[in-house]
Amino acid sequence: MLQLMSRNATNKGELTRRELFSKASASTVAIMLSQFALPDLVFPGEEPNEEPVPFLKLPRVTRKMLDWETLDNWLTPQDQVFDVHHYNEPALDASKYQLEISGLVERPLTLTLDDVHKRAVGEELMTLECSGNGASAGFMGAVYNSRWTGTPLAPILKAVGIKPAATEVVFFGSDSKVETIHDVKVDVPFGRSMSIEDAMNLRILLAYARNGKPLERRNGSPLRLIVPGWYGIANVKWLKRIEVRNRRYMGRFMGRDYVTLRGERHGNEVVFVESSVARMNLKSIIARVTRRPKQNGSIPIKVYGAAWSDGTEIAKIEVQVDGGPWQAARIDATPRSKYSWVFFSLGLDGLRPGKHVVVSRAIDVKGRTQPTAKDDEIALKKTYWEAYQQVPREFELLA
Amino acid sequence: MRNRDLTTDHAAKVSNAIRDAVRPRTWRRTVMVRALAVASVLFVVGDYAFPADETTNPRVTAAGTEFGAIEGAIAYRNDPNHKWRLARYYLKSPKTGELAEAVVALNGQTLKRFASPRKPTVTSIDQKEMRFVPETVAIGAGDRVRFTNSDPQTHNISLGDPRLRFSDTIAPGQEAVETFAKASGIRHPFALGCTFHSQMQGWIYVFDHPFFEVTKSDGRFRLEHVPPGDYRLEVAHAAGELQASRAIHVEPKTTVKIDFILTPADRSPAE
Repeated sequence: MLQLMSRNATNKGELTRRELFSKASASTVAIMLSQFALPDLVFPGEEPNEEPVPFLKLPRVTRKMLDWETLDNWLTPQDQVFDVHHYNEPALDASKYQLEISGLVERPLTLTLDDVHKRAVGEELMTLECSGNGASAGFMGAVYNSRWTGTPLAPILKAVGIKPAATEVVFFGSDSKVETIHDVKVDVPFGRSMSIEDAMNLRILLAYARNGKPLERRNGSPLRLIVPGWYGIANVKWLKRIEVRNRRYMGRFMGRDYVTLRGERHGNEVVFVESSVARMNLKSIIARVTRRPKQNGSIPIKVYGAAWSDGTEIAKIEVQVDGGPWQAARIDATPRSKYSWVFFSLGLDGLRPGKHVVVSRAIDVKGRTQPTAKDDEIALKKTYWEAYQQVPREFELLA
Repeated sequence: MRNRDLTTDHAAKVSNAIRDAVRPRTWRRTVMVRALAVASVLFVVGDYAFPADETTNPRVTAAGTEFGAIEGAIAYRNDPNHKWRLARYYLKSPKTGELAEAVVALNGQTLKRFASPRKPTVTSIDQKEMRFVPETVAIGAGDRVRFTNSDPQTHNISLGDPRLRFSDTIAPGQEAVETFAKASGIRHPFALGCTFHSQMQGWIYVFDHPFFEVTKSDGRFRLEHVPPGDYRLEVAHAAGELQASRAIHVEPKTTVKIDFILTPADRSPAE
């Protein structure tokens, strides 16, 4: 279950004593971390005389969000990382922290933070997106790529022994709120769940560090769940208890919010179906457009962007200008990791001064194509979560 | 103009009127005395009935010719080794560097005299597309801010500042009004945030005198009716975490011209 990493983007010096200690005591598998320096420009081929062309009609980028137009780092710097919480934001005392693994298990377990750090170390490179990302023009930067460090969940579940009657694993956070449910006021913890099969097979990590640094409080310190390929809501922060159950957990964030209502065509009918938000959808976005000086009446531009999915390999990324033909973009060969975004670029000639629209779409190896806002998949979706439609970008080329 | 000086002038006018009144009355003098009395009352009441508009500088006064002024421009010069990632929103162009949304304010002990009572103004800050618009405002102590919500989401504006605490949950289309009684000064503005949307940022600078301005896209500022004296002229840009300060001396009937060129060396992260 451990990932052998052949590259990382931080210095060895940033590893904490704890991490080094846990590596030294990891009995079975060693982590190989070799250093390499990422180039200054993550998009190779960006030339000095390329000038950025700002997108029109976009609200300002502020803090704690990804700034697409100056995207220059495959691993997102911490100051561009978003955070959302629906309940409180607990400040947990690391020295008193305990993680309980209980419910329908043979040998319930309680781990302190030291216990967690002493366990085998695993890492996962993963792009995490909020399922509300893209739902409005003001919320387009709630996505980031990270190197998460922690201990894998599957060996812990094996060790505690899941009973045959069990069907689900519920992950409870330390955050809670008094909610009114069916006119009853109750204090409920934040919770999300998944099947036993998913819990065992998804390379889930109990993570305590991001890009070599301990988690910040707003990102779920001291321990959070990292579920590769699933939207942010599934990546439970301030983890408190992992409970194995034999009945479907129907907490607010499984059954009421983060539930996508979508019309699906069956013959002549449209049937409206609700489903819980889980796996990330195939998505691409143009991050920025650059231009070079006009030549023979036309302006050469270059388009740069990113694409990601639930881990399904992306086969092709295409770019369209002003409603014209789709052209294949060049996908960066490195850096690559199954659950992380890929970067792409495409040079385009022959644009005249004036306003233009560019848009990208991703196609995965299973043939799935990123839809437009007008395709049924998006047009018949009546809730705002899972906004993975193509993102047209409008810009103006001055003479 | 300051109320105290008006009152002094007014008192002189009234006493002259009384002296005139002691002389043998004629119909003409009676009318004049009564007209003066009414006019003088209106003159003082008018200060409250017709308050200064929402600009930050004090009203012009008939006797205001002994003041000076300060004007200039704020610019930012980039350093490729210390890039300001979001500079594009605030600079007119990277080459010329005129800096918008910089707060310029005088600092000096004697300025506290000018914190006299006036009708508080109300400045509006909207929440639109998950942004505070405008992002930076500067107001006087005692002024109010009206927070509106043009978004489809509910926001919660909370201020957990030791000087002022509030927590306003504002549904779409609703609003909340808060009073900023105490000055913040230029170094420690009140920092706005939304509990639900951590990306939202805004700053409210509060001064206990009227000598401040927020620059527009040309980066220019002009402070008028400045009493002669020695001060510090201070500049701050909250989004860029920039601060600068210069000693200046203001002479009567003279405009001091002073420009600032800020660089990444002027970075001073807010608390």
